[in-house]
Amino acid sequence: MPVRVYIPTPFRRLVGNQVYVEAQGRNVAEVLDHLGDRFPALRNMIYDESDEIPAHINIYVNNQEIQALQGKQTPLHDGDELAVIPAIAGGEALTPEQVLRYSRHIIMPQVGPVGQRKLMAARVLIIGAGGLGSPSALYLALAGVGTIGIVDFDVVDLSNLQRQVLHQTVDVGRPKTESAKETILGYNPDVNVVIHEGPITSDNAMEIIPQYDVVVNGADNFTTRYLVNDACYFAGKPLVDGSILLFDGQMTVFIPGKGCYRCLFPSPPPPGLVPNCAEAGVLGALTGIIGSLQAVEAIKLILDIGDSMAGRLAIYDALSGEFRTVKVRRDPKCPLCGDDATITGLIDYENFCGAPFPGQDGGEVRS
Amino acid sequence: MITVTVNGKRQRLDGVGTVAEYVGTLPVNRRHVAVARNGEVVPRERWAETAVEDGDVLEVVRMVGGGSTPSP
Repeated sequence: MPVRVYIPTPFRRLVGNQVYVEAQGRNVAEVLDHLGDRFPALRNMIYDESDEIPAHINIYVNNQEIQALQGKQTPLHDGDELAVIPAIAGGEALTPEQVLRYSRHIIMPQVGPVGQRKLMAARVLIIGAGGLGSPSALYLALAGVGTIGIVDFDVVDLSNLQRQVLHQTVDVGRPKTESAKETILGYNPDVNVVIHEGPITSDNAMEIIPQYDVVVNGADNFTTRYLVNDACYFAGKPLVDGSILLFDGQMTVFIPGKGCYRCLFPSPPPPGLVPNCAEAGVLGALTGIIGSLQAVEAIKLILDIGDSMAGRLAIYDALSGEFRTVKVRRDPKCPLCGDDATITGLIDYENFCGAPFPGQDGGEVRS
Repeated sequence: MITVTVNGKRQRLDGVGTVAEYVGTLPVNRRHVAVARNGEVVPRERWAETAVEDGDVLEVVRMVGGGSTPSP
């Protein structure tokens, strides 16, 4: 009986850095034995010397702790999900305060205590603490995502405050990363906020992105957008993409190998052809919609629930009030993820897009 | 003459038989839009062979770069 087993962050290195592994067995004991045979290092973590599951390890079947079921004899069926969750830092994984804080999530069977711990173990990188990054980072923080990385080079400007809810009037002139961190911790002090001050470039992208499970793109320029697309592909990380202009928003998810930004748009427009928000404007509340959609998709990826927007592009036209979705597929001729890919590593994105990374010395800050 | 829906609005098209011909009528560079026909994005290399028929629902997806919108 094949079942999926969720492996939490502390144990992932023991199973080749997989989030889920398949295992066989008719009940919990058989599945754990099968796992232990395949991953001896994991076996040492889930069984003590007397071959019992130690008290600090909790096993869940479809979000229910096995002690509330039939213990190790709990029968399993095709498609069941098992989770092996160690108590964090020697205590209960969820404190009473956390149970209360996240109760509206935990009460839903799609989340439950296991899902909440998945969120708390998750690491999400937000590219840009601006219009899209603000709502997505906030909702992920409120949901209890354990680590949120923020990449930004900019300082808060008064004109940002029409939409960028991470920043307030008193923050004008402060680095956005600093302001973002303070706001996030104000909402949820449990979040580990990691600041990556400065623009993301070809020099640092492959250092930063592999540290995270999911990347949320709120980049405001094509140079960064192509870089983040390619770097996520090479790092094997899902990319929750969003973009906005005027009254229009787009949102999708790119899973490496199943289509990417280049499949949709193979080449960037020449600089100046597609205006940015600073030049053309954007409806502030629209950023809340698209950024929140991105947070929803990131949470679905972390919890592995529902139907991901991967393979579908959501298009929201605020003026007509219409929300349309079109299917997108991997383009076999894509130079990055196609059958005969020609891009095998990060390229010179400033040259490719004809525009420098914003925020770099010599580059324009306004993109 | 056929009637199609483009980005939610009904339009009459004359002399347009394929996606490539339709994109040719738009004031855009073909490299900078994606086109979906009846809910599915049509790969660029199939634009010329993909028919546009009466009643089709088309979506022309423009490239949008905006996101974090740095200060001016």
